[in-house]
Amino acid sequence: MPEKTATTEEPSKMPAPGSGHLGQTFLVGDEVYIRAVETADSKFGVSWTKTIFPKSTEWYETWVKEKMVKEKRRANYIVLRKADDVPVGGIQTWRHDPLTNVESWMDPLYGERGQHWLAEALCLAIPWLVDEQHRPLVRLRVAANQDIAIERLNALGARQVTRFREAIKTWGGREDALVFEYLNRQWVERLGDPIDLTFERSGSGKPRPVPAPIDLTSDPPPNAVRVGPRVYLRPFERKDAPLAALWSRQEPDARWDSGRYMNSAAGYEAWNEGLQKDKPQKWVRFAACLRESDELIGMVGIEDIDYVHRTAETESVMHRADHRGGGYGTEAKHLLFDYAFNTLNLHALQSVVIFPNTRSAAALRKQGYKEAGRLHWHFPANGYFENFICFDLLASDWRALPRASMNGVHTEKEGAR
Amino acid sequence: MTEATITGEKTESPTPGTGHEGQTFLVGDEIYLRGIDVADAICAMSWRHSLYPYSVDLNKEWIKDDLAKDDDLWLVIVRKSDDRVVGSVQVEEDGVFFWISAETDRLFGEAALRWKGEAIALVATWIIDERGQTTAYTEIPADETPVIEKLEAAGMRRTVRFRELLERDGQRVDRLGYEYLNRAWMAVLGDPRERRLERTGTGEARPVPPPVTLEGDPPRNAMMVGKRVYLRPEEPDDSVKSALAARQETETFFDIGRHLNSPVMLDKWVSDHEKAELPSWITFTVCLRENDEPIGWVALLDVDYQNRFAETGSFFGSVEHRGSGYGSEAKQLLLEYAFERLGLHMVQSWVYFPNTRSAAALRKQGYSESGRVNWLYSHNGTLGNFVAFDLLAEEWRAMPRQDWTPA
Repeated sequence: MPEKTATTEEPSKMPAPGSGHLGQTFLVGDEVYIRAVETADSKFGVSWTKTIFPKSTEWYETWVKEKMVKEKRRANYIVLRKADDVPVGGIQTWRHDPLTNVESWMDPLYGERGQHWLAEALCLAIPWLVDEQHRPLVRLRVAANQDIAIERLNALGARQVTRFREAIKTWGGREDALVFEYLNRQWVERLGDPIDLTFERSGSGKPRPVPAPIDLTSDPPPNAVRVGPRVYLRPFERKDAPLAALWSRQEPDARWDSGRYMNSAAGYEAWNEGLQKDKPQKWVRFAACLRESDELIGMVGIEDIDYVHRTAETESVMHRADHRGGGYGTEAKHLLFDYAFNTLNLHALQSVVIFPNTRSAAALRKQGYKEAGRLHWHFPANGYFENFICFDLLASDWRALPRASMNGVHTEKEGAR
Repeated sequence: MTEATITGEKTESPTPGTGHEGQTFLVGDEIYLRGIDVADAICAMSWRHSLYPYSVDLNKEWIKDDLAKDDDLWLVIVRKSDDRVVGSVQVEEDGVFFWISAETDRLFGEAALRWKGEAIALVATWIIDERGQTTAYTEIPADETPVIEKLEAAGMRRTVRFRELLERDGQRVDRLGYEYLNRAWMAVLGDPRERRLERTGTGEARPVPPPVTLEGDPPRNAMMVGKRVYLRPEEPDDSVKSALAARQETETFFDIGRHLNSPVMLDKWVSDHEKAELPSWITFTVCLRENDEPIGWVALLDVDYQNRFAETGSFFGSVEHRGSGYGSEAKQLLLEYAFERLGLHMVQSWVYFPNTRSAAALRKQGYSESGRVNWLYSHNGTLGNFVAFDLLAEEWRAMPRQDWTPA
């Protein structure tokens, strides 16, 4: 470990405390400055990493030298106090043009002082990324109780575009997550301000009753995890992969996010099994099958599961065009909600849909999701950047929805669970 | 879906419903138990005690690579009428103590709970009455009435109730512990339920120290800061100090006497746990604020993120710092971390009967007795018991906040 030896054995080479920012031409504020991560910062890992789990200095050293250096889209920065060069917080960026996502963290033990430093650091980093580095936009999330940061972000010209209800577990409670964006002015001049775009809503917008849980009068299908009136969920199997690959080639609808996907059977299998091998699974996927024939019709899943904040995002793909529009997708989705809220005990779910996909947005509203806002400029699409409309669903919302049998569709008696 | 459709092989399968014929033990009214076969992978979601979906192929690999090497005994629960696998039993043997965990597929409705109860009763009576072992123990959700009926009918006794330990369908559910003890051993050693737990102290909870407002900076890498102590991640140097402190231990009453620790093992322990993205053990080193000296550790053990509970543990290796309230101060910081930062709903703790001091400390910290677990380990020519405690987040939040100086 050459760095360690150099810093411990040759103290004369160490800069005097408080001189760390001298000569730095950008990202220097009144009280803090920002620089890239150095191995020696490992001693302060707890202060600058967005985690509430304790990790040793050795763990951080290994992470910096072996993991961080291999990151491609992600960059890590340290927020240091000017007065004595002590690391007090961190900023992580993830770039996938046009989007740069920013995550920030400030050691909570610095209390209100720390929140001022965090606000200052964000106001240094965001204009640097957008105005100097020409990125089209920066997006970031803050908790609704981070008043100081919110005030400074508004003053900077960032704006709140989404509020995910009760999505953040804070020290001592739960807060809404606010999503802010800061757009590049030149890109706004070129493309117009996306906030002026309206999205089309179709359908009544009202939630439909949840299919009532059923008491099976016969045995459940083999390996089923959840069973509804017409559909059941089971694990992904290797034999599903060739079907998914074939159906992707036969897709008639070209308006999926950025066009149709082309799945390879081998890739699809490896990817889905990879999700199952994760410990714990952070993306739980189920195959949705018809009860009458055991035929696979699609996949539903919850991704980005955060077991501390107890949130996740839902996804569903009905591979088979001939089974769309028959309510199978919604039925599978409610089985997924039952798993997410009643077994994994998640607190809230999110979902996003591109503006043109009014059908999926209408389906989400029918399932009980509420609009949470919008996320702009996510990926390029025919001369503009595509926008998302965002939804959220709280466990308590879903539990309060009325339950109703699907008359004429199934014959089993309903049971309250 | 059959085995043949997955492997393409044709297998001669016996007539459904004849699977238990000729089996001389572990056969009940509705179900029987047998060892696990690779072919059971096709319905693993019915019997693997898993929160997550796994494909048949991954389940086969798991059975061959992991289960086959597992020290625990695994048996599948099979329905007699058609030989369908509907659940499984896992038995963890720890010396004299056999911990039985059973699950059946809830999609079979009420029947699944009857089968589960029948399976636990079959296994417990087999281990104790036939194999002559001393203690079989299981824990089950308190709302599983059909299971409870089967256990009680088999002569199993309830010894502990952990309040609100589980969460399902948006409701908190208690978890009950049931024991089944060997009668011949009871004739030799006496009924452990008649052994009284010695209690010291008033048993009353003390106020929780109020949160500390830091005047200056927090100590480096601190995560929770109290008036006199703070919690930080474990560092490799700590294990050398822990190993030395263990050799200098003056008390002999800790569970099974003094321990000798290797710093290498302790380091491995720490680094294994911190590698996990979602750690099941969360350990903090407790340090004095005045000089940053480490004096012990506090930890959340076996954190269950689905049900939001954990076991708490602590140890203060530094003999000179015991009995001055440092331990309780550190424990209260751990509880604040557990309830307010991690969002746990409850914690539990276990103490050996002779360790009356730790039990008294838990009562002072707000814990309530939840019951006992008997005959876990050999001690003074008999088998020793544990007393169990629990503490709910809402109880801890309702405790008065007040500064107190230890006498």
